[in-house]
Amino acid sequence: MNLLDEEVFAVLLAIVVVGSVFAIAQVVRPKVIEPFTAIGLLNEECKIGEYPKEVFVGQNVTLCIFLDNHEGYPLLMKVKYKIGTSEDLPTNTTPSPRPMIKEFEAVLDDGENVTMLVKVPITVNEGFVGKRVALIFELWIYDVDRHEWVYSGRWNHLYVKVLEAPIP
Amino acid sequence: MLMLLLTSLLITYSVISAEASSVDEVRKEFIDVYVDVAKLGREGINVTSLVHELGKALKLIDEGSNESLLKAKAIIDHVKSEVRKLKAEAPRIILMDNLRKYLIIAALACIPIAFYFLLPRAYLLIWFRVRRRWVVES
Repeated sequence: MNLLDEEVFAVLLAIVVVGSVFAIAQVVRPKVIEPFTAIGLLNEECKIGEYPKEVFVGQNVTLCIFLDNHEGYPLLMKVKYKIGTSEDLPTNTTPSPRPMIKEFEAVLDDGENVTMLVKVPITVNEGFVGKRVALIFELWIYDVDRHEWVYSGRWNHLYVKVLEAPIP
Repeated sequence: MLMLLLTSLLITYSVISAEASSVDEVRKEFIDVYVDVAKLGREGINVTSLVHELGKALKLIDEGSNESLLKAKAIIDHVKSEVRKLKAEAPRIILMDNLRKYLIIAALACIPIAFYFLLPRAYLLIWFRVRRRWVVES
């Protein structure tokens, strides 16, 4: 193969041009194309599945919360734990109306994630015994421009049946 | 007796409120520093080590004891001084980053041009060198 042959040289040059353009595109593309945050709920072994189905009143349930930051800058995140019914679940725009029971905070750099082992108390009144409740975990983010916590629109919930605490 | 009880209650209350306010103060300082770090991160400055320091401070604040609050305060003060330095250096760091980026782009853009002009020359040079000892026979 003669590299100086016009056709061979043209093909080689075309490959080099395409490679060069692709490399330039990699350099000029923004660091974060689609910014996002994520929250995940895992079991007490920090794995997906085998979540508790029944809990006792006053029990501390061990679960794992997974947080992920791909917003392009460091984030201060807060997970608000609430208990409610299926009617109290948050939406993409509004948090649950139920009062916060506990909160967990983490600060993550861009591209980082964390898995936190947490104990959440089942603080419900006797009226919920025998009923199904939702353990709600809402992700809130500290807005550095507005200087306040804002609901991210992301949440997880786990339905559990509440049982009366066993007599010791 | 009543006076003694009232005094002790007053002292307990003041200690509790002092601790509470110090937690709030440290938390407020933490948030202020975090805002600065996040803004620097948004400008493209590498703040990973500072974020990790803040993570440690946050855990200490959550512990809530006097000792852990003092440690958290020390970390926050350290991060604060680093932020001050980074803020002063930020324009230079951003300029250097941009310069590096545009130099890489220029170098990559030059590759096809260099290929067009240099490949035939390099090919011929190698072609002649390989055949340097060749003898032409009739």
